[in-house]
Amino acid sequence: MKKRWPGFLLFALLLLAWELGSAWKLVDPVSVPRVSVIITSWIDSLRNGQLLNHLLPSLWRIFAGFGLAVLVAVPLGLLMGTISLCYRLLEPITEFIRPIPAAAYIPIAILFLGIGNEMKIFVVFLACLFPILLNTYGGVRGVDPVLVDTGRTFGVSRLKALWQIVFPAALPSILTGMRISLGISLIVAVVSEMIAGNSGIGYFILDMQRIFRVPDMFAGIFTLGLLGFLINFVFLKVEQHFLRWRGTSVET
Amino acid sequence: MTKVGSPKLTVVSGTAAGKPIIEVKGLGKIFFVNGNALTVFQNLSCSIDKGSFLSIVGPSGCGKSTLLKLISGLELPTKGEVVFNGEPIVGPAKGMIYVFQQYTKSIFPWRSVIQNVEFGLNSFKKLSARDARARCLEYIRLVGLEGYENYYPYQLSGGMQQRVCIARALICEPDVLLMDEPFSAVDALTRAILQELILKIWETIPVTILFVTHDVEEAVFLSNRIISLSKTPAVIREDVAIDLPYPRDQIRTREDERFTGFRHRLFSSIFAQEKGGEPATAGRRR
Repeated sequence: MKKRWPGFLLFALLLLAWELGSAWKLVDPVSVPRVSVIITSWIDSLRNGQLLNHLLPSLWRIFAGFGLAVLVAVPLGLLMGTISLCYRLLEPITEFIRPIPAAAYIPIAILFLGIGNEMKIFVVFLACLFPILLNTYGGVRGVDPVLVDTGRTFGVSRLKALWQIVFPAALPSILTGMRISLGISLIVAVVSEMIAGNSGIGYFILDMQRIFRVPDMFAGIFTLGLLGFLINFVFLKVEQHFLRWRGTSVET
Repeated sequence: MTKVGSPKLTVVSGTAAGKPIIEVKGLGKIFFVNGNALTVFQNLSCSIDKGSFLSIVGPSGCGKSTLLKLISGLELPTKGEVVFNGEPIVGPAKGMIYVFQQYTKSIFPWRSVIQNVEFGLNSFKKLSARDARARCLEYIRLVGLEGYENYYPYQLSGGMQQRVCIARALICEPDVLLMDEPFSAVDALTRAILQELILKIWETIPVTILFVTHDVEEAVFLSNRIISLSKTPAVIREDVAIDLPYPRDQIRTREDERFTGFRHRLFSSIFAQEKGGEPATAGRRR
């Protein structure tokens, strides 16, 4: 934990500046309430369960969409990386869909799936799919030919080599794709909740803004910040565990 | 042609004592690089006796490694064939294991030492967990890595990583070990130690070793036969039996008059080609 205190100190100082700026009316305290006020309403909405009622659906959407994306993208990426026909078949579609911002799928997803969980999970899934797919594919293509030949000289079947050699060799890249997707999943879930439906942390933030409970709105935003931080922290731990053989410990 | 300590050079013919384990018959290999055809071999034949320690030397880029790849089945020839134990090679064959020069790329970095060795064992036969572990430890001991079985490759030096690759290969009890410049990427002292190690292994285990190296001294020190290739399209320029006695010793063998004689002959032949001139030993070509 040493070496990290300057960052936390700066963070604390900025919060203090915010508190004072709002208290001394350097900024409009109605749009930007004091930090202490935000934290008070944060604790209140945590206590009365309101925040949690919105947080849980969001978490479900994020992890369901992300999980589905992993289940689809990793095998697909392995296939595209190893079988050139698969790559040539799927590459044009991938390249066309990939650049479309995930939020742009929302209207069409509403048409087909309504405004409930299915739509949101689908949008999160689609947004998470491509970073994982491309990183898996890239990781597989990056596997050194010597490693592949090593498998061949030991007479390992192609399928076994895929699982025992190609997959572990591509794992660092796959995990990078997963980390990128996790960040995206949070964004997309919140946006989809803001556009349609009546639950989720995104809906909560927008709703509080509409009914002018600005401190609660900020509490929702702070929750997202904390959530993103926690997800990343946990993921780095997971990554470290699976990549412990690399010997370069990633500082969290 | 007389030179210092001129050794008695025995030319090994295909029908020497012992029966051939590998026969290379009329091998041709053409690579296409950016639309240009590069003929590495036009019509190469030789036969390798069971139990021999054969080194392949030659000027850089002459196709030494390609020959080894063709014998292993990792590459397939444009024409001709390689026969191993009476069967033509059509792909990586059981009974032959290739040990790569780039051990850092050949070792599985996500597997510990014992898990790397276990990979070799699993490709060879299934044993119960206990027997497998005991067998792995036996081979780890053979290459001198006892105590390191739970280390990951990144925690090992280059020489130790190559030892792991050697143990992983040997545990499959191969008839033939194909070694492609296996010691060229380690420091000189480690190389000397690894040379002694591989000799010790060859003398204990019934294995035929094909050893590609650019280092003539290494070849003379290790082998009982050396094939020297010409520049591409490569032909066998020299085929020399190295009748120095085993066990060989890093100091005494290298000081042996016959050792320096072999070294002189092979090195001057290769060096002359490398410079583009006529080899000094042209008169003794086969």
